[in-house]
Amino acid sequence: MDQFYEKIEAYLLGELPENELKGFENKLSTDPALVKSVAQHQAMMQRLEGLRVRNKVKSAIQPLRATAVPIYANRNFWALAASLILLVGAIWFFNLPIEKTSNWVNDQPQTDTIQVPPPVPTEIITPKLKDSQAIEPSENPKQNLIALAREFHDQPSQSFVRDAGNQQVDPTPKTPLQLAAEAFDQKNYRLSAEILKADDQVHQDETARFLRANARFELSQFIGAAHDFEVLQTSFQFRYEARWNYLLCQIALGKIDAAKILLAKMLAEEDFPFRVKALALNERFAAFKH
Amino acid sequence: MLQHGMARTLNLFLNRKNNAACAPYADHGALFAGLEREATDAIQCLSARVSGLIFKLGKTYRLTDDDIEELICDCITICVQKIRAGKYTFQGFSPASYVIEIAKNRVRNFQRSALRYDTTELENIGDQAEEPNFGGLAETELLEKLLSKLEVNCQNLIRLKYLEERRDKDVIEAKLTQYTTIDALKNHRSKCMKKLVEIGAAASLYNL
Repeated sequence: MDQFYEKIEAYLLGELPENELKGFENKLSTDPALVKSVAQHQAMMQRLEGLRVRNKVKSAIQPLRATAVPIYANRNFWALAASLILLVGAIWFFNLPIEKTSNWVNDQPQTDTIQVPPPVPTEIITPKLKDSQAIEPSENPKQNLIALAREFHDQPSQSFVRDAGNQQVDPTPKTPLQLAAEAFDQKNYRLSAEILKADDQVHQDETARFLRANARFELSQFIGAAHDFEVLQTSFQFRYEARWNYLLCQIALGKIDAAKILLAKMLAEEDFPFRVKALALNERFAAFKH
Repeated sequence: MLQHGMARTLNLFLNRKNNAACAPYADHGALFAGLEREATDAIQCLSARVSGLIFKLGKTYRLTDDDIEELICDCITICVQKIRAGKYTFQGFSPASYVIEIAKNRVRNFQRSALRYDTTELENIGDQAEEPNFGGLAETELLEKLLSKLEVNCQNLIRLKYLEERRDKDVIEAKLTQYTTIDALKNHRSKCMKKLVEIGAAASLYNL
């Protein structure tokens, strides 16, 4: 009995001799158990064949697997790409403002204190006259008055602003005035005015108030600016600038009559520092039909 | 678009080894003939041509990278087995297209089994899904496990014959076993096969 079972492999491989083949096939036709065993042998051989081919395929593609995988299907590719994008973005982000503020940065003492990031200058949209000598009554006289005020505005000098921002050399945290002065120097008037927003910050500090007043003027916040300039008219240091800019605030606010009175007073003072400007403004003002 | 272009460029550089494997297989017929011979470079070329698409396909079905790699191996194995069995004959089309179709069927079946859907009648999936795949990862791992239950001498005899396709004459000449005659070798291997079949039956391997 067992002799047939041991010949199944040879039978399936076609290696059974002729004389044994006939006897085996006769037995197959009468023995269902042998038929089942032959089928099982055949299935096992198919499985072994499957294992062989798979091993062959695997050994062929395994050395290339690391490189055969599409690069975009690899998680590391996306991690690398994201890192590169972040790196480039960081370089761009940190370099752009530094380039614009390089002079200011070099002038500052090295401290470990918190620094306000150099702000992007705020663009103040102001009505500009096409020709300063050609102020004509227009459909919007208020805009023309504002433009006239801006034309004659006496801004704090750059050295004044930088001195204000540079008062301390010791590595202590910067004062609001310093931060505001830095912002003003960067033409970020909104930030400058925001830093000095609280009245108690300018109450005892004329420099801070003067800076805030000019920042507000630049922001077209003429009421606030007029208030600060009015207060500063009693200041020894800023009294002339304050008077002049207060006059301009009145013009910008459309208070023509008040402005005329103020201007007349200034023209009456022979030693008024802004007399030349006042004369020029008077001429323009006379030609200006409001 | 830009990312895809960059990926393609990098892929081109990184896959230059695979592309070199395809040099002798410029046309589909040559590749098919190479696969018929089970040439290593033909298998590598086929792998290079199908990997990208099967990866994308696998990602669509949310397969892991490891699963996709096994899927590629499975599909190429099935292709080679079918060529060897004469069930896939060359008709002018690329063997890569055939492998992609196998992959599509397999991921669909994978999804069906995952969702427990019985939707085999919904699509024309050919005969691949119906036939047992003895070259699949699960099947081959099971077989390796059964083989390991045999004594070492038997494992050796079966591996030499069925996995390494060594001729009996060469095995005797190279003295790769303890047997000195071909008859003794065949006789003992036959007994080993019988044991392996019985182990398989005990493990409910056959659906007979």
